[in-house]
Amino acid sequence: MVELNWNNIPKDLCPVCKTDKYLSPSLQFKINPECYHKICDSCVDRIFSLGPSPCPYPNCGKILRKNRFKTQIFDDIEVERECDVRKRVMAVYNKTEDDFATLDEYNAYLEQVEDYVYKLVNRIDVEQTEQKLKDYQIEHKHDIEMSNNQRDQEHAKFVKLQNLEKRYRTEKNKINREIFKEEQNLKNLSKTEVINQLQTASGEKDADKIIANVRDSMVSKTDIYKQQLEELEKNYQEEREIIISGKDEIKEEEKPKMPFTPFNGDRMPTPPYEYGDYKDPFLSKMVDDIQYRAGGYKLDVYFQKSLDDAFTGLDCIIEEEKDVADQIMV
Amino acid sequence: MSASASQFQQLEKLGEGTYATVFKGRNRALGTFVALKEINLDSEEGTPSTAIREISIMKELRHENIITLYDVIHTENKLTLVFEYLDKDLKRYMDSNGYNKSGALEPHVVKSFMFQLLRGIMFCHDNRVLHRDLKPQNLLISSKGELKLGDFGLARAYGIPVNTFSNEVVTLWYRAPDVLLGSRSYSTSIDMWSAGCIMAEMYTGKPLFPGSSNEDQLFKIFRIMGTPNERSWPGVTNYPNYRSNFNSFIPQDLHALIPNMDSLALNLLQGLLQMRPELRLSARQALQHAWFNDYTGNSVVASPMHEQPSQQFNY
Amino acid sequence: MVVSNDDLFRRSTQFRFWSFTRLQLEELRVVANKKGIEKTEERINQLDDSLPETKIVKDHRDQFQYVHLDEEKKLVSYYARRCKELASFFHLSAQSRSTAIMYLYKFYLYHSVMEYHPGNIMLTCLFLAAKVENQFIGINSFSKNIPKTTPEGILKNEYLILETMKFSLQCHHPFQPLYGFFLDIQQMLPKLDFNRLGKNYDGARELVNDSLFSDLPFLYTPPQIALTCLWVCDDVLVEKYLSKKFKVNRKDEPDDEQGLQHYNKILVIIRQCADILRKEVQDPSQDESKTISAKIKLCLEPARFGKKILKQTTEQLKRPASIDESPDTKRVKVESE
Repeated sequence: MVELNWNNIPKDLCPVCKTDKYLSPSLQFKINPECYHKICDSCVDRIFSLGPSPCPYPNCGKILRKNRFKTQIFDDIEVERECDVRKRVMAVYNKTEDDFATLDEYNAYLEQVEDYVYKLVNRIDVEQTEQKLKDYQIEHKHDIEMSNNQRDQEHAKFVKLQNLEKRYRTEKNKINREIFKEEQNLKNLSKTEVINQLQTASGEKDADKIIANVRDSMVSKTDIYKQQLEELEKNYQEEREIIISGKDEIKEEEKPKMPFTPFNGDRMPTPPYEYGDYKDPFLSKMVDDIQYRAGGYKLDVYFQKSLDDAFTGLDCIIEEEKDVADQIMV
Repeated sequence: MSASASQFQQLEKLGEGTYATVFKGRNRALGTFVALKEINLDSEEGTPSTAIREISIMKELRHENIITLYDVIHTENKLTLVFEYLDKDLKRYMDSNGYNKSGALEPHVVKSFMFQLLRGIMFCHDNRVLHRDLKPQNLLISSKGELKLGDFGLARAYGIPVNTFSNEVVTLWYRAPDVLLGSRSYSTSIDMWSAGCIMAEMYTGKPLFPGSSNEDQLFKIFRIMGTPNERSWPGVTNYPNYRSNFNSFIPQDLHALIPNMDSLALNLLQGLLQMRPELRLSARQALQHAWFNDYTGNSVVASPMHEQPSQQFNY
Repeated sequence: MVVSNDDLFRRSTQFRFWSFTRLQLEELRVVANKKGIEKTEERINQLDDSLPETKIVKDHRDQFQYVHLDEEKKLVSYYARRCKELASFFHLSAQSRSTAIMYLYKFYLYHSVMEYHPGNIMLTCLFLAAKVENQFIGINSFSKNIPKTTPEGILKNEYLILETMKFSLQCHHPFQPLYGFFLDIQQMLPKLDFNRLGKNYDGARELVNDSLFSDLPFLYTPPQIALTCLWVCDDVLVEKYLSKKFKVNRKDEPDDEQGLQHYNKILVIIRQCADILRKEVQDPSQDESKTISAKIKLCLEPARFGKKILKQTTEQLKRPASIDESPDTKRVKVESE
């Protein structure tokens, strides 16, 4: 058997288990951005399922984690690496043009970012650059988060707008189709109808008038559809405006919080206690268990129930109330 | 003093419940109809705990959107619960009243039913009772269009956090994902998920997630709501039934599935069908939703408050 | 109309069916006791006249001892205490345990110990309470762990109890409200030493357990009892909390008028409640219970009374020396062995 040359691994071969893609077409390669050494899917499962392990390539020694493995997108591993590096740097240097007073400042910023990317990609001053990146991240932690949030919000807005437009389009198409159908129908119908009417018309009724009547009804129907179309357009524009201005979020918060109760009456608008921070060494230990939280169990609910119970019947004076009740019953 | 069995004439069988048979009955003296739920007592453990649970809960819950328990009758080897009688359950109502035989209900009917359903649920939750088995077959509809919650055989009182509720509750189709994933510490949120499923079903006439097994049920939910992961639902991987090889789906647009739903209704439905239980709307929040503004408006609906049982029954 | 939390309590079966004034409670017990005596008399009347002891029973009717009202209460309390021990043996929660005890006390508001022996009823109450509170114990393992019982014997009384409970099975106990006050005090008195609160909370929980063996659960609401138990442990703490809550006894500001009324009202209740808690919690001795149990035995089977006297007279005839001894004390002695 030929010894594997680790410096020149065949393209379709997993160097760990020696499986060949030619023989097993389902073979999938994965890489890890720590070292970019390719390993097949099943080897990744086998080696890293129990926790972090060193890369099986000789002289690599990088400790790899299973969840960081990914499918290679670009054929050229260097391109793949550059993309990863860029993504990582951009997650930290995430300012936008709006964050700068002048274009020059922004350009300088971009230049620096490119410089870092270049250095990391080409392995120049890696340690220093990484340190700079880390320092920047610590220093600008707040800004970075803000920026990320903003991006998330913009993305949410974008999704909302897209959904709105999709709904608008389908509605519009629906109406347009109706209009088209109506026109076709009426074109056909009007012909026969006119003939019918002319046939049944007694005497010498004005044929022009009949034709005009039919045309009128046809027009009025399409008019309704056109009106609907206009309204749809108007609503769409309005909703778009609201989403763009971000007013829809505010609207939700400003909604009147009318307490509604199944008693057909109002429960007390404010509970007889103020909800606060409570201490219970025993319970808080339990609640730190993520399983309880994932299950939807909230300590707040338990606290609230206990507090409610504390004031459920506190002012009920049985001796008086039951005495009265007795008299009424008699 | 308690009513005796001879007071009622037993009519046709209405259905077979989880642990009992239900008959239609007629009060001989008054001619009014009742539902008679007969529970066999041949169990070796005495009165079945489901019956005990149902009786004790129904005794505390008196509300216009919850079936009234009039009386309990004991005969030699069976226990009969005498309930208020309503014509149809929601399933049958949809089959016979839905338009085009599709089972789908008119939007204004859906709204009225949802409002009543949520009121009933909220009353239960206010009284610390989980229904745990909400489904169209357990919602009863009167000829006047009233909706009432029935069959509290699986209901239970809740409170203490460490309760190890069995996860074998709620008919599969209306079961919340957290329960399917094996959660045992669930709370009021499981009823809210069921309410969401029922709402969608009323719009379309078809069950939203008609799974055939626990796994299939999860699959059907994920296919529409998206497969959860640690990011979208922190802690989800810790559930006993979580598998890392779940097919991953991205969330679908509910509006595409239920096109005849207006945007407010859609918003409410999304609030009810939250995968993460802690994000699901509570019954109180759901009732405050803008979709119900025509009911809640600015003033509170005024109608007689006490739902007293008929006179013939003594406690 | 505002529906307050108190109104929620007024809707509960605990308030509607199981809350009484002292007078009402007393009346119920008097009626139950009378019913017990009547039932016993019926049993005496139905004795087989052909038997020799029947004549003796009927001749000595004036000597026949019925169970007195106070004795009824004592015996029920004795078995309520045993119920608590048994619940601990089965590792049942405080909720289940307390519910079982309440079922037992409620049962004897409508029945007399001269009809049903509380030793039997107590077992069924515990079995039923465990079922209601979702801590179900299988009847076979339940019975196996209690000597001299059979599954049938325990199940026999289940429906009788359900009916006596008027099928209202949910009980509200002071534990949860007590915990609520534990939380609310933290909020109202943030500077309070947490250990002091914790210690008194634990003490109050013990008192809540004790309160079950008095009439408190029928006379006062769970939050009232909870607050009382805490007050008995640390009155300064509770009064400080209530002052803050109702805006009274402040240094720089005058008392809130409504608050003051409220404050006084609650303190009055607490004092009444505490009085009962100090004086009326029952823990009868085994000897007391044996004496009463012996009486019940005769009430349930009056023929035994005749046989006992028959035996005594024959013994007296054999040994005429001990004529002085009253038959009464002697009988008690014999039975309590």
